[in-house]
Amino acid sequence: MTTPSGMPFRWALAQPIGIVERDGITYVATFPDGPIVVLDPVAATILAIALDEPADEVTGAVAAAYEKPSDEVEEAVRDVLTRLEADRVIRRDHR
Amino acid sequence: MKAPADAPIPQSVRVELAHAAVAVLGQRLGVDLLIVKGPGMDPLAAYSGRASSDVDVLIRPSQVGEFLDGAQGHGWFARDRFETGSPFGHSVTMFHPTWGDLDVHRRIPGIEVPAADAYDVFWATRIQSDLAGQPCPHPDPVAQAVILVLHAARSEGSRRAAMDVEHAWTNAPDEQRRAIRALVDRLDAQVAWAAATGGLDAFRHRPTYRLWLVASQGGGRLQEWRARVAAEPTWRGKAAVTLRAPLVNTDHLAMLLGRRPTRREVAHEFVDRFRRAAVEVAARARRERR
Repeated sequence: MTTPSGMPFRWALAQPIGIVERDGITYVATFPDGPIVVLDPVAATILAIALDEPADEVTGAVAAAYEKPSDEVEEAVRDVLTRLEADRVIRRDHR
Repeated sequence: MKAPADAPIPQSVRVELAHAAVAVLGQRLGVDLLIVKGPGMDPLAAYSGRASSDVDVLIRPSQVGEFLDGAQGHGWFARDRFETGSPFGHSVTMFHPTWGDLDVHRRIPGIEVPAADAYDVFWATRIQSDLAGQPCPHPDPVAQAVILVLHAARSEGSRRAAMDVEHAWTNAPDEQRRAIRALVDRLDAQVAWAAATGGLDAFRHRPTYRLWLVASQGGGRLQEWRARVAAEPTWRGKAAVTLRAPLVNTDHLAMLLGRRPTRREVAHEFVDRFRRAAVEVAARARRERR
């Protein structure tokens, strides 16, 4: 995944945020204004992988984790990361 | 593979996140605050499973205005004012659509040393408890227990308050109890402490005695106002409380109605307060004649 200018980047957590896990659900909040974002186990896995891998390798890594073809997980990965970025949970790190 | 974006958020999760959000807000505003209750409390002070529904913070008294102004810039709005929030005038309740309710304390009722001095004591021994991955400043476990028991002193008939006293004081280890007693004395909080733990009669000579008698054992509005007047240390303070007594608490009325009251509703409530006071006086006269 690249920016519109084509620069490679990684996903990083925006700061400060809070994370609480309860009964298999992950709740992530941006501080001090919110919102609280609710992640099911799959979305939480996508987030964890996104924070570990270069952005353009996230879809492949998620597909490998679930033993599925990349095109089957691509939309879900994009949806989750788009929402997390919109809610200011993650940001693009170009370093 | 969709996240449950609209799934309900359990109250315990929201409350934990809210505590961390408020701690970060304090840092962001450069205001010293201490979280005085909630899920970050030490097990020595709070019994296991003690649930919270809101956030309670004590702000350095000189920074209270700064905090209230700053919080409004982050989506919080005040539900009431210090003058109308409680008989003790110690807190303001704020609300945030994501985090819920926040009680902003400028002092702890029952502590009779100046609020700034008490804050310095709490701040000097503060600890950090981790909530939602954020370090959140709390008073130390001894101060937590004192604050919890002093709160219980004005929670007449509350089962939870009784459990707080039992856990934080009655069943506390000896070393903790000694430290608690020393802190109660240092904060000059003996009257309210006695209201919660017993022996209030020993403080009949203190100006705040009647206030704590009413707070801990109940009483009518007239008794409460007379006790508030008696507890005020200055004539100016006594006069201010007396003049405020017949006025309608429009913030409280707004909370009951779910909207700001109309002039007609305020006027009706104003008249009704005198009616209720008359009923109270008559009832007391009947009791005294028997």
